[in-house]
Amino acid sequence: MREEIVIRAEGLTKKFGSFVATDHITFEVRRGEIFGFLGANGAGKTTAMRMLCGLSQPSEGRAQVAGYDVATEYEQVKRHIGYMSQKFSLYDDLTVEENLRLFGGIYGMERGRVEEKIGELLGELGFETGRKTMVGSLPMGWKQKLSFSLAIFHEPGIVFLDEPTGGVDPVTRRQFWELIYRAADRGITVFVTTHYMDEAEYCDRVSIMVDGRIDALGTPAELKAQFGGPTMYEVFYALARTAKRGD
Amino acid sequence: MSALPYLLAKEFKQLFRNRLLPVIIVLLPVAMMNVVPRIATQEVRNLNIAVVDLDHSTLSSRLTRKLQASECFNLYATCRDYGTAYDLLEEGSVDFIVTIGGGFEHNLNRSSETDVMVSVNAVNGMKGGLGNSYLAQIVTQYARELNSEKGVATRRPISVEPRYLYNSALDYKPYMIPALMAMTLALLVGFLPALNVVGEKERGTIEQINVTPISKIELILSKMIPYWIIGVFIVGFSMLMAWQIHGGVPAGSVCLILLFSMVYILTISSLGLTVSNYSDNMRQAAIVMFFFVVIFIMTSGLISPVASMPGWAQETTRLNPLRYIIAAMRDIYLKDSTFVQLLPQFVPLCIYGLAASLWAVISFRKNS
Amino acid sequence: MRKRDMGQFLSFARKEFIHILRDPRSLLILLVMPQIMVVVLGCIIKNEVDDIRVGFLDGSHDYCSERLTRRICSNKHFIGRGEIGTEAEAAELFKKGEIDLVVVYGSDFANQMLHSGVAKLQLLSDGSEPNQASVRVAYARQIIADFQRDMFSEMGGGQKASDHFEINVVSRMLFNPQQRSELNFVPGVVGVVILLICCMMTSIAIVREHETGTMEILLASPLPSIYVVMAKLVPYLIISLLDMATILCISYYGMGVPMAGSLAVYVVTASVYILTSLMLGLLISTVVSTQLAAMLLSLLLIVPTIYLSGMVFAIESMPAAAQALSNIVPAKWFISASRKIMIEGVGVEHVATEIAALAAEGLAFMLLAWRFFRTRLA
Repeated sequence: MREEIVIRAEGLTKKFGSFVATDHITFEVRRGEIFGFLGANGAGKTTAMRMLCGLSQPSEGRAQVAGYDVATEYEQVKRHIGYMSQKFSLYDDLTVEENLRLFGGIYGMERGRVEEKIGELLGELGFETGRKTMVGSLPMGWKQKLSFSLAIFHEPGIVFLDEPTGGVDPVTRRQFWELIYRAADRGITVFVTTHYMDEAEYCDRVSIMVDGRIDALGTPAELKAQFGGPTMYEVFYALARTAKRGD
Repeated sequence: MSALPYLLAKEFKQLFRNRLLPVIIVLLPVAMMNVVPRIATQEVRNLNIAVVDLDHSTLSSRLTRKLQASECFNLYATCRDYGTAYDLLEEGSVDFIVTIGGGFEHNLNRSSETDVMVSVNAVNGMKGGLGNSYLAQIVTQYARELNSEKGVATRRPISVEPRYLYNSALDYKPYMIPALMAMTLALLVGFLPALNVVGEKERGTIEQINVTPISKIELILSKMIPYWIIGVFIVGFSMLMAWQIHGGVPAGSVCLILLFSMVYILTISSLGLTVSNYSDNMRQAAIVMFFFVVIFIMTSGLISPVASMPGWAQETTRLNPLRYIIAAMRDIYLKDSTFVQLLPQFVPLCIYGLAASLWAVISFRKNS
Repeated sequence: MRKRDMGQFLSFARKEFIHILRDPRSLLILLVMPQIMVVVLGCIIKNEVDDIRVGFLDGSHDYCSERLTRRICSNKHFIGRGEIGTEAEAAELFKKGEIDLVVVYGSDFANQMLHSGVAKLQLLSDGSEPNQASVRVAYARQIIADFQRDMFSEMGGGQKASDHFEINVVSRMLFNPQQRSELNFVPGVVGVVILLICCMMTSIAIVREHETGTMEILLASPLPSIYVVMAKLVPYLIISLLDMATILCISYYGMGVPMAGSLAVYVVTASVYILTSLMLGLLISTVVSTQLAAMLLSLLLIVPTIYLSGMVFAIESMPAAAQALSNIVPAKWFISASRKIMIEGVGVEHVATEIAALAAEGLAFMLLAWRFFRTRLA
């Protein structure tokens, strides 16, 4: 069960004109894993993730997510994944429960089930009082936690998180990772990009992208041994400074 | 279609929570129905004239009084010489100068025939031309009056009786009101959808929707149906106002008006959504939509008749959905035209609506 | 402005230019759309009455009625659409919009006309559009009057009775002898297009910076905030002037719109008008906080600008309140001045009022904008 592959990318490539944003990347992610997808700004992480989520067509190569091809069966892919984009993308002018209800409805969840889950979720977050608050007036930390909860609201098998903890304080970051662990415990595969090397240590396995390619892949311990650094920070630094692309 | 109710609820909540939109949706039709019909008139009246009376005779001053008494002219000044009057014309105070030459009365009494000189500011050709023919009518009328006083009957073997059908008072309001409804719709249900999708693109919320398995058709429908409802509300509200304020009720069927409006709203809001789908930001969407709406409005026959356009332009206006709706609305309102009589407007409008809505669905990209 | 400020001012203006240049779609629209609009609208907005589709309901079918029918059909303003059987048939054609005018001859037309002198003739005109209806009838009347005169002279009854008064109206159509409607509409279209472009572009550009938060960075610079805002207007001023120049060339060379008066006076008027429009855009940007709102407000300007500017609808025909209201529409002054300069060719003294009004409005917009801007920063 633990060895089942849920994401498989083979030579996945995206070109914008002559610019190769993602350059033939190949990797696999197993069910229930927390997979850290690291790279400097502009290394091609978001582009790769958007292809995996069925938002963007690959130029070359292929990838399967939850058993479906991202180039052809992207609508099926979308049924089995959750996605939290880099940019906060819930509706500011809807309340917390209205946002949840909307996405529950879009995923075709039953009305009763939606209400039940809203209660559960807000209880878990300790946010019952915020139920009828406009999302636009929430502080950043709450927005991030809410986006994550929304991404896994319809109980997908895989969730993609694009820099989920950008711009939040260390306490909230810690709480956020507790949410991720809880999701992983329930068997959800987590595919996460981040800039924080301490977060990389929390992952089961990480890949590091440089200039559109994956230059390193393995558990944090393996990578530290391979690149001879005491922490992930040294590993990342050793790889990232070879990058040709600027920001 | 299970997600549609949720998406619709979302669109409506967002619409009503906006501070500006509901106000505009109510205020614009109020302005368009209340104020614009009073202004949008090309009636030729209150024309300012200057009279240069060089004769100072009984007959010449009687003509001046006749002009003064006329409904469509407004005697702005009587001038001593043509130069003074011409100055008034140049500064824009008057548009017509009637010069009664010296010897007006003398000539009439001696040879029974004399001239009156009229100078017309013809920059506005329609106003100049019509004003000129009204002036000529007044002068002819005056001559006839003089003849009958003398006991000589004017010989006019053909008696011409003009009858103006469907708008016997020659009033611009019933002509403009149905067209203004179509314009209000173009401004509201054309523009708001154009800004909708691109607005979600700019805020990033569309990404969260795109990553869901929802179908394109459902999504576009959720964007279209609210404007459909708003549009029908606007039409109803406008008709009510036109009736209350100007006393104008459609001669034809209200159901037919609603039918045409619905096809038209589908067309114009689909065009808006299509523009939105192709735009990267609100500014682009607004400019492109602005361009189309202004061209559509100006070439639709709303402010100048299609029949007066050059031939190639008349053919080109066949691409303009506003042309059909305005023609149909006017015909229903004024002439009580029936559905069968209006098929030449209905069929192209339907084709346009179908094409535009298909385009809106196709051009929406969940996956780039 | 101190020298260092000047340098900064220019660098801000340059930055704004770069924004526009980097967005080729917007630039294209800014530099091509106004010209296209002027050409298209200038060619299309016309109100000459031509190609009148005329039908005949002739119960007499005699020498006179048929001759008059032929005469009407051969007139350049009319297109004969043949015989119509009944009034009901005529009504059907009117309702389908396939005919504009129907000539109904009274019974025994020729006999009545030649002998008893009271031949009846009815003109049924589709009155939907009142002016068109009136002009159609006027044209038909003219033909009928000529027809009568010719019939009389043929019959030798043409000599005028010496005791019969006749006053002839001799008309001179000044400035536009052929009554071409584009001479009236093109200056109007220019005014409307320029105003809308200026307002929309500037208000959106400024609000955009507020929305993205970059405005705060600019205002934090040592340059006085009024210069920051003015610097944003510079590129739009230049683009508008370019647009104005090309439009002028197109309308002069391409559409035969004359420049009867002084070009210099026109340029001055146009510049003042562009500045006033930019100030209006600035004012809009200070009262709204989102691009959407800026757009909607600029858009709503279409309505008063089309209807109250005198572009199509003559101001003197409006109710007094609307006439008073039209004074605050900048396009009204510009359109009035440009018609006077371009078509009538009047001297500067006759357009002084218009220029002064435009300048005063521009100043008022600027002061208001400045006031709102400060309260917003405070």
